[in-house]
Amino acid sequence: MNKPVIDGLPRNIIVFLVISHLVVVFPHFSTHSFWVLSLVSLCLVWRIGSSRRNWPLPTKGVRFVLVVLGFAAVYRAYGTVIGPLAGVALLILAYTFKLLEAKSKRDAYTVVTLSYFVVATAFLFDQAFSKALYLLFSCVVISAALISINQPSLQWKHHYKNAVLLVLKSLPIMVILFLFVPRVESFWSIQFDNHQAKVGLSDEMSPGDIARLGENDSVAFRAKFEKEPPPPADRYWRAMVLEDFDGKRWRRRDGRQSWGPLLQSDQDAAKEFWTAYKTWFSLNKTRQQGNYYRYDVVMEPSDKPWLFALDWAKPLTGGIDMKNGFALNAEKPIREPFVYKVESLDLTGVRQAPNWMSREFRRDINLQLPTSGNKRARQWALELREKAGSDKAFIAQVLSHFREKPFYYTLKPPLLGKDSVDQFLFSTRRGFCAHYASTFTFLARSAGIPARVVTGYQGGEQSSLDNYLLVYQFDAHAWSEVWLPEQGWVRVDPTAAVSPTRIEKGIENALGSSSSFLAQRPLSLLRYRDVPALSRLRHSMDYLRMLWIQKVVGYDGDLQTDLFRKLFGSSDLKTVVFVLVGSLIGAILLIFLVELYANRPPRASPEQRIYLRFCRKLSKRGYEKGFCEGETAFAQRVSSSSPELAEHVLRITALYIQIKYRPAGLVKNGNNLLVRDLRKQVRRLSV
Amino acid sequence: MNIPFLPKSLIPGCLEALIRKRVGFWLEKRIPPSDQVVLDHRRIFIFPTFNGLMFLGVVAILFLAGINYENNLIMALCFLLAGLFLNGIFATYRNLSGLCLESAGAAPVCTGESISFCLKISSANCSTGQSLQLKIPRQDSVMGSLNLEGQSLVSLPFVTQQRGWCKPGRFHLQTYYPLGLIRSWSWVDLQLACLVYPQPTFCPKQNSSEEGLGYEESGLQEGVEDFAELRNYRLGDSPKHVDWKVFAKGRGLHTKTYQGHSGDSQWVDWFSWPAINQEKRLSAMTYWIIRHAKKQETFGLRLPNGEIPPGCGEAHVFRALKTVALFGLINDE
Repeated sequence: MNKPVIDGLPRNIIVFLVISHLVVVFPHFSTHSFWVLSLVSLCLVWRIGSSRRNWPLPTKGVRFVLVVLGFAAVYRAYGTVIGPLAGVALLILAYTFKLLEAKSKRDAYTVVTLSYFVVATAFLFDQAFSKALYLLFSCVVISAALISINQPSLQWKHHYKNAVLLVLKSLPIMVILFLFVPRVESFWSIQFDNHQAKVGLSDEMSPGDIARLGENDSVAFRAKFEKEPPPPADRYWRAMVLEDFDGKRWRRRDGRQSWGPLLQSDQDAAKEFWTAYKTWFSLNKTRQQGNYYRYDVVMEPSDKPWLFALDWAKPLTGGIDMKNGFALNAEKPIREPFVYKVESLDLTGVRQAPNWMSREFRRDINLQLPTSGNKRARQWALELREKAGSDKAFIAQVLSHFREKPFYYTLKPPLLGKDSVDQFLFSTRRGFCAHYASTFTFLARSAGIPARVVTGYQGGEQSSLDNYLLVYQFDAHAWSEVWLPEQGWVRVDPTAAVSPTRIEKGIENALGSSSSFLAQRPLSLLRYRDVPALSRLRHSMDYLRMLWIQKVVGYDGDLQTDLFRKLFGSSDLKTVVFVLVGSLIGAILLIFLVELYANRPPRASPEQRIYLRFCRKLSKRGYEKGFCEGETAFAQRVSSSSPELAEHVLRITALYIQIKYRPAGLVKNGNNLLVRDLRKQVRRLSV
Repeated sequence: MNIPFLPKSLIPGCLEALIRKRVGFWLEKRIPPSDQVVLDHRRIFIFPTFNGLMFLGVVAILFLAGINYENNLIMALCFLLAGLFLNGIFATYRNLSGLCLESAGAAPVCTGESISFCLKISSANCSTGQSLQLKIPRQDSVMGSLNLEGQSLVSLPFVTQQRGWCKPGRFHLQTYYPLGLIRSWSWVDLQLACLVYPQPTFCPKQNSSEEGLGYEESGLQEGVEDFAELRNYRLGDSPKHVDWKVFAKGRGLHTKTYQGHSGDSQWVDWFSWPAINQEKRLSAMTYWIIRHAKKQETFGLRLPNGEIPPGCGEAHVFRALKTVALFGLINDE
C-alpha cells in the first residue's frame, strides 16, 4: 500500500492529475497565445520533474513570480486581463499553478474542481458535436484522477475502467435531467463578447464583398421545410436591404426603424404596420393565396444580427424583429448556432400591393443618388425610360440589355475606378451579382423608379437525407427591388438575366468549369458534388450537425414544452416535477438492476446443481450440510448414522469430487459422461 | 461508549454526553453487537464529504453559467456531473454493502503495548471493499482493500492503557471510494475483546531468601526438585518433563510433575512486595510469571483472594496471567 510519497501526494496520483491536465487543456491549445502555453508547459515539466526526480517544488517567492508572469503573459496576449479569452487563460493558469503546488489530497481535489471549470469554458467557444464527445472523454479522464486519489494502489487500468463505467452510468441521468429539468430564462444574463471573426454577409456592399464569399464553402444555414421546399429559382433568402448609395458602397438606411413584433409603444406607425401585416398574412394564408412555406432555419454563428428568410416572412420564434425592408433581425449578434422558425408567403402572382407595404416605403430614400458621378449611366437610363414609356418596359429593356450585350458572370472581375457604374456598364462588363444589382438599382433610380439593393443568399442544395436545404456561404447573392405603384416592391434579379444558370443551378454551374469554383480549396468535398457517395457523406455529416444544433444546442424552453406536450400531454409544473422525479427514480432503479445483474453470483455448474439436488434430498431425511462442512465429511456423517444410505451417498460424493476437482485440461466429453452418471445416481437415491 | 459523531465545540458538555448516550442506544438497537456483521442498508450510513459539497457547488455554478450563457452543453456537463455524483453515492454504498466482518481474534498483550485485533473481511462480490479505512476511536486507522478473491485480513491497532479485558466496543469502518465525494461508514461492534496483562516490571521479591542472582541459583537447582506425580501428557508440556521411560514401555506419553522447593522462589506471591501499591505489585507478579514461564519452571500463584497451585505449561501460565490481569476487577467473562 505504501508507495513513495512526495510532498504528501503519491506519485501515481500526480501522474493521473498531469494526464487529466493535458487532456483538459488540449482543446484550448489553438486559442491561447504562445506565452500562456509556454508558462503552462513549464509548470507541467516542473511538476513531473518534482515527482520523478525529486526537484524541489516552487517556494512562496517563486510562486508569486509565476503568478505575476501569468498575468503579464495574459495581458501581453489579449491586452486585458478581463473578458472571455483572457479570463479562460487565467483560469487555465490558475489550474496549472494549483497542480504545480498541490501537496495534499485536498489540493488534488481543488485541482480536479478547477479542471471541471476549464472543461466547461471550452463550450463557450464551440458547441460542436466533436467537442462534446471530446469533453465526455475528458470527464472520464478526470474521474479516473478522482478515483486514483482514493485508491492510489490499484492499477491504472482499473481506474480507467471504473471511470468509464461511472460516466456511462451517468449518461442516462444526464439525458433525463437535460430533457426534463425546466429551462429557466436567465433574468440577469451577463453576456460576454465572444468575438471571433466569422464569415458572412456584411451590412455594406461594395463590389468584391460577395466575391470573397464565393470562395467560401462553409454552411451559412439550413432550412428544414415542413412540406416541399420552393423551386430553385424562388429560393431568395433575404438578409438585409441596402438603400443608401454613396457612389461606391451600398449601405443600410440611416435611422433604422423596427417594424416587427418587438413593438415600442410610441411607434404608432410600426404598430399599425405590424397589425396590418399580420392581418394580411393570416388572410392570405387561409385563402391559400401565393405559396405558403413554414420552415426551421438552423443557422451557423455569423457574429451578426441578421437572419435569413424567404419573402415575405413572419417570425414564429420570439426575440426576432423586422427591420427596414422587412428583413428579420435577432436582438443580438448570433454567436452560437441559432434555430428559429419562420413562415413565409410568396407574393408572386398577387397583383395588388398590400397596404402594409406602403407604410414602410419612402420615395425620397429609394430615389436617392450621389450628387455627381456616372453621368453616362444616368443619361443612358433617362433616355431609355423615355423610350420605354413605362416603368415595367424600362426594367425589361435594361434586363434584355444585360442579356444581349456581352456581359459575363465571373468572380474575378477587373477592378473598377471612380465612375464604377459607367465603367462596368460600358466597358468592362464582367462582374457578379453585386455588380449587376448595384448597376441595375442605380439605373432604376436614375430613371426615377424607386429601387433598392437586397442582399442575402440565393439557392440551396437539397439534402439527400431529409427535406431540407443547405445554403452555403458561396450562395451569397445580391439582387434589386423596385417599387411599382400597383404591385409594391417587386424583386428584379439582373444576374438572372446575365447568367440564368446561377439562379437555377447554383454558382458552381454558373462558373462553368469547376476549375474556378472553390479553386483555393482543393480538398473541399463540395468540389465533388457530382460523386453521389461523397455527396451523401457530406449530407449525412451536415445532417448530424443540424440535428445536434437543433435538438441539443438549440434545446430550449419551447422545445421542452413541445416535448412534454407530445410525451405526457401537458406541460404544467405538476407534470414537469412528476416526470422529472419519476424518470430519475426510474433511471436510478435501472442502474441498480443492471449493477445487480452484472454482479450476480456466478451460475452454478451442472454438477454443482446436481449436488445441490442431492443435498435437498438428504435434508428431507434430516441431514443438513453445514456451511463449512466438506463434502466428504458430510458424506461420512450421513453414512455413519444411516448405514443403509452409506454406499450410495459415498459413491455420489466420490463422483462429485472427481468431477469438481478434475484438472481443467481434461477432455470435456469425459466430464459430460461423468456428470450424466452423477445425475443418474442422484435420481436413483431414495431416502 | 465512544461515538465521536459530533464536533465537540458545538454543543455543551452535558448535552453532548446525553446525545452520545442516545446515539449509543440507537446504534445498539440498529447494529446489535455480534461476532459476525454483514453490512447492509440498515448498517451503512452515507453522506457527502466536504469535497462532495464542493463538487455540488461546481454543479450549481455550471448550472447558473449554462442558464446565463444559454449554453446547453455547459448544462449537459452540469447534468453529467450530477449523474456522476448520484452514481458516486451508489458506488460508495456498494463498496461497503455486503461486506462480512468477522473477528479473527487477538493475541493478549501487556499494558502499554498495542493489540492487533484481527478482522476477517470478506465479500461475495470481489469488486467491492476497496480502500476501506478502519479505526477504533482515538486509535490509529488502518487501510485495507479486499483482494481479488474478495477477502482481506486487517489488524486494527489498539494501544492499551490498563490491564483487564480490553473491549474497544464499536469500531468505525469507512470508505471514500471511488470518487471521494461521498463517505459511507458504519459502526460495527464485533464484541472485540482481548486480555491485557499488567505491564511486567522487574521488582525483586523482598521477603524471599534468594533475590536476583540468588534466584538464578535456585533456578539451577531445578533438577533436585521433588518428583510429585505422573499425569497424562498435555499439549505444550516440555519434552524435558516427559517420562520417556514410560513412553518406551508403550504406555503413552506422560509428564512428570514436580513439587517445587518449599522455598518462596517458586511461588509468585502477592505478599512478596509489602511496600508497593497494588498495580505495581501486579506488574511485578506478571514479570515473575513470564520469567518462570520462559524458563519453563513450575510455579504457583498466591493472591489475597486465593491461590493457584504450582504447575507449568501454557495453560497454567495463561491462567496465572489472566488471574493477575483481572485481579480486583469486576468482570463478566
